[in-house]
Amino acid sequence: MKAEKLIGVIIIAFSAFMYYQADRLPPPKFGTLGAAVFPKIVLTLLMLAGGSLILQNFLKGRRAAKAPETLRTQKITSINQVLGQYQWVILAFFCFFAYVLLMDFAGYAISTFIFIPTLMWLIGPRTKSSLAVIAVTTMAMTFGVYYGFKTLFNVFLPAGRLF
Amino acid sequence: MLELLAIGFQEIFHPYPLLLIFLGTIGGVVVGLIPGFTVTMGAALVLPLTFGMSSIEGLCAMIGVFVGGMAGGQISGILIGIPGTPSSVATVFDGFPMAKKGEPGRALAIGTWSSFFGGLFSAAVLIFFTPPLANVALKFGPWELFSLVLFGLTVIASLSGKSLTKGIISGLLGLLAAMFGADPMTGVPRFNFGLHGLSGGFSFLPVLIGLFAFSQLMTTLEKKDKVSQALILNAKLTWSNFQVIVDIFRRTTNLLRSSMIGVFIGALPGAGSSISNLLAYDQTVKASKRPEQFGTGIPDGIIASESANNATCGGSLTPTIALGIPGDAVSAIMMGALILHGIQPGPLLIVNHPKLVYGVFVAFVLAHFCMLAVMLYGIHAFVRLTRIPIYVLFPSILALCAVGSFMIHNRFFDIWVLFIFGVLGYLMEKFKIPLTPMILGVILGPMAESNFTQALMTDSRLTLFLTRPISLFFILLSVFSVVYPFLRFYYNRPKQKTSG
Repeated sequence: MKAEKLIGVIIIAFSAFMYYQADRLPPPKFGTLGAAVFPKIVLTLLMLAGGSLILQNFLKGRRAAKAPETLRTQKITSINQVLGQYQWVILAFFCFFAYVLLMDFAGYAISTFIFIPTLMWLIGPRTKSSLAVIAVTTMAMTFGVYYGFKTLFNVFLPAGRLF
Repeated sequence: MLELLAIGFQEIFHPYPLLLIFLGTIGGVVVGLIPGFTVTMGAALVLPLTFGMSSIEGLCAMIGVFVGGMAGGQISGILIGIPGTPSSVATVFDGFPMAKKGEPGRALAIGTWSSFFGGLFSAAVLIFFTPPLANVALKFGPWELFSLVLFGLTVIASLSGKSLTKGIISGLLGLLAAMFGADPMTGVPRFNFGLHGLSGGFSFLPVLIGLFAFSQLMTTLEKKDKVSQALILNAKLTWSNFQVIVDIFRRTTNLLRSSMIGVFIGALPGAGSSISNLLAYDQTVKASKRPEQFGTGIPDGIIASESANNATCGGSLTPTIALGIPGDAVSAIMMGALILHGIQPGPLLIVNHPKLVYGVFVAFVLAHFCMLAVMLYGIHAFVRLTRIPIYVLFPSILALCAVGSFMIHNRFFDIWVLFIFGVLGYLMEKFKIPLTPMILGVILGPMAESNFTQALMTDSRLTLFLTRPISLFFILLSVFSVVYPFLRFYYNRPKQKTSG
């Protein structure tokens, strides 16, 4: 439930920031309808929706506080719990982030050649037979995709800033 | 109409479009049968590949994925007890018990033929109702078009999840994301923050892949150790097609009722097949003289669920083509395919591109025949695919997501957009904020803003949105869709006892 209050606060803060940005847009040269009108309407509604979420959560909290003990559910109370529960997802996000960073500099082929076996090894079974699977998948996704897209779709995948 | 259908046949009956329908159907079945993967994700991944094709060819591939995916979800549902897609949840209730009784082949055949008949029913609705609906929509001015978009977004917000507020937030975030880049009327740069990549705004495709494919993959990774491999391998997959068809036509009322539910739910923006299969199953149980038999492995449950989910396909395509308002996320992606090919969806689509529209109708019908053949004759091969481990699929599909995002505009910035919206989509899933309203907001945002601005530039009176009858009708529907969850909560709450 605290999460919903946090979402509401983030929505309101973000909307307020974007509203300020919209306010800085140049006024229209003709008439009253400029580039800022529609964004301001949407951002106002977004702030109201964020406020509504906080209010609903506050009212739910008051009802839950009055409820018998058995109705209360267990909550995640620590960062360690979150990290434990979502460790693979967090790891995958970091790996993908590093993959994209590397791709920007080294290009698709090199970055994918590193990314695919690394992530497969981290999340998969670490056995001898899986090594063969990793090798085949890496070759297919690196060279197979690169040349496939080049010849079939005439699309040249990122070459990287270094090349 | 017959002449136009004949033109549609001419568009489709070439080797390449037919091959794309066939391959798309196979791809859809594969995506549908792997638990954790959704038809929406499959469509999002196929979309970039259609860029090098003509618009009709691209749509042929996507229709194949759509139809195949809806039917493919039943395979793992019946054989493992885990539905491949949300549209096959109710199929498990009777399909899995039937398989455990030693009749997995019969269960799969009943599901496949039911999908086929339900889909053909919705194809008839699509063909006969889309043109008159589009004719009505041609009379719409900017007031009506804005109100229609508002209706689409509010209905989706109210149906997509348990919280209306979160649905509205999602839709508004989508509208906001569509505003980055430049004002569609004046071209004034907006929300660029000095970044060159943002001067063109967020490209629709990486946003879509990020929200639906990337975030969905991450959710699958949470359960990587829990995907059951307890496939019913040793039971032979045999059945008699004749007997199965007799079984289905002995239950014609069930078939028709469930198909109609599927079409209606599909036409409603945001509802989709994840609702239609459950609603159809529920209604079939209620209408049955022997409701206690449901859940034990009877054909009626499978027929209800599978006919409804494939009927949803045609239902959702009807407002997509006639009005430019997608009926569900996959239709939204197909609209994206049209936009990618420079074709503006909306009521004028059928007027400006009749060959394309009637080609889509024909492709939709043919895809069901492809699905029937692929499912009935390819089932043994597909079953093996459920064994592909997550550690192989996951990194490969992530890499393909990056490639797909890059290839449309050849902009590296789009891969970062994929990552950002992937993280956002995952967090939204975790906090139960529905994704469909957001993607609809991104697609419909420019249409909403340009019609709103055009309406006010034509006549500055805001009251015209309420005094023009069609606009008022859509606004009242929007208000109703916002108010209805509160009314339902009020009437369904437990009544408090009053003291004497």
